[in-house]
Amino acid sequence: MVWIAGANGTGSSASITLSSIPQTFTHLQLRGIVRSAGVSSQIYTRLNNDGASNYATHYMYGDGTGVSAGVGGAPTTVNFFGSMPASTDTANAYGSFIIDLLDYTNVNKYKTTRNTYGFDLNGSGQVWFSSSVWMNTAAVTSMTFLANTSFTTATRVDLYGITSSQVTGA
Amino acid sequence: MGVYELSGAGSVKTGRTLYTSMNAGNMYGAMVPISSTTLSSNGAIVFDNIPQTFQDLFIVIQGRSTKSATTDVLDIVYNGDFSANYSGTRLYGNGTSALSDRSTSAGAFFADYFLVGNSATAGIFSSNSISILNYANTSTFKTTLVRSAADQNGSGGTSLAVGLYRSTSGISRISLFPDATAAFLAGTSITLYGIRAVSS
Repeated sequence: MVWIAGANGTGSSASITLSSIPQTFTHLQLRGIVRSAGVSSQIYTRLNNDGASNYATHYMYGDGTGVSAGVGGAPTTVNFFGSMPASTDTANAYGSFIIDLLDYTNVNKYKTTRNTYGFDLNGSGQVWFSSSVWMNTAAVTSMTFLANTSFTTATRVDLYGITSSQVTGA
Repeated sequence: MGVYELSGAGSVKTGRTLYTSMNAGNMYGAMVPISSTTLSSNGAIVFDNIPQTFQDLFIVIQGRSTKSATTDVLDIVYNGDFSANYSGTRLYGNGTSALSDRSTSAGAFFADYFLVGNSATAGIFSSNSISILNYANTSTFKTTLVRSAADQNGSGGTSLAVGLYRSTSGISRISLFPDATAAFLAGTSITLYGIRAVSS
């Protein structure tokens, strides 16, 4: 696994984009922490800045009292994977996510993301498994995180490449 | 019962493998092993003096408790802070139902309720992966994701849990232990990795 790039929120923008993703890895993993600088907000992703209705999402989540499962639109314009802590919630609390995107350079397959996400606010919270298909065979060259309102400056997203070749380390 | 203290600095403690690279500066891979051990006797596990130079931490445990029951609870405490600063939300399945529960204002993060106990069939160990993102950030509370699995051939479960540690301190010490008076059983293995966010 090799770090490729990272970015922080600006406090005023509702998007974070990691672009010019090298086409030299086998898989990608995105890891980060998120919080909205505004009121309650959901978090979404897009690939290659494609805003067309090319995404379909399904999910299962627990909120501490019950479990829900469903679809986030089929198709829709974004990959949806949860709500995030906002300005009205416990200060300094962030959601954490890990997203796996396999075989992202393959031009013969639609791309599937596997999302693991959760946040806790000491009395409320959610934890999510979700997956989304991007119905496009293009290689993935950029990934954008979107919110209904802006991301805080401590919001952080890091992109890693997983290689089939040997690297020094694990 | 002992405590396996796996230190990132200072003198060598019992039962650890000290990797030559203990900081983020001299390996190309993003996932760097910091410390690892397999317990030779029953005990708790503590990682101390964790370098603050990585972006995330990742822990892999294959564990079993000495508790005389089929399951136990895996607890995590950061920085030696046993005050009521931990809470968590869990999604889990037990073979018949999908369920969710939570803990609030606890003295530890209850990361896994399917940790295999010592009344289970011999040789079965739980599998846990623990991701502590942005652990060195001093302006945010720390959110931990824990993926757990244990099957006991007729019982068992799998879960995803999220834990909140309400402190903005960087995490330099991680204590892991089963609930109550139990310990990890000898043979439990654990590795702490740092995940780097530098390109060379």
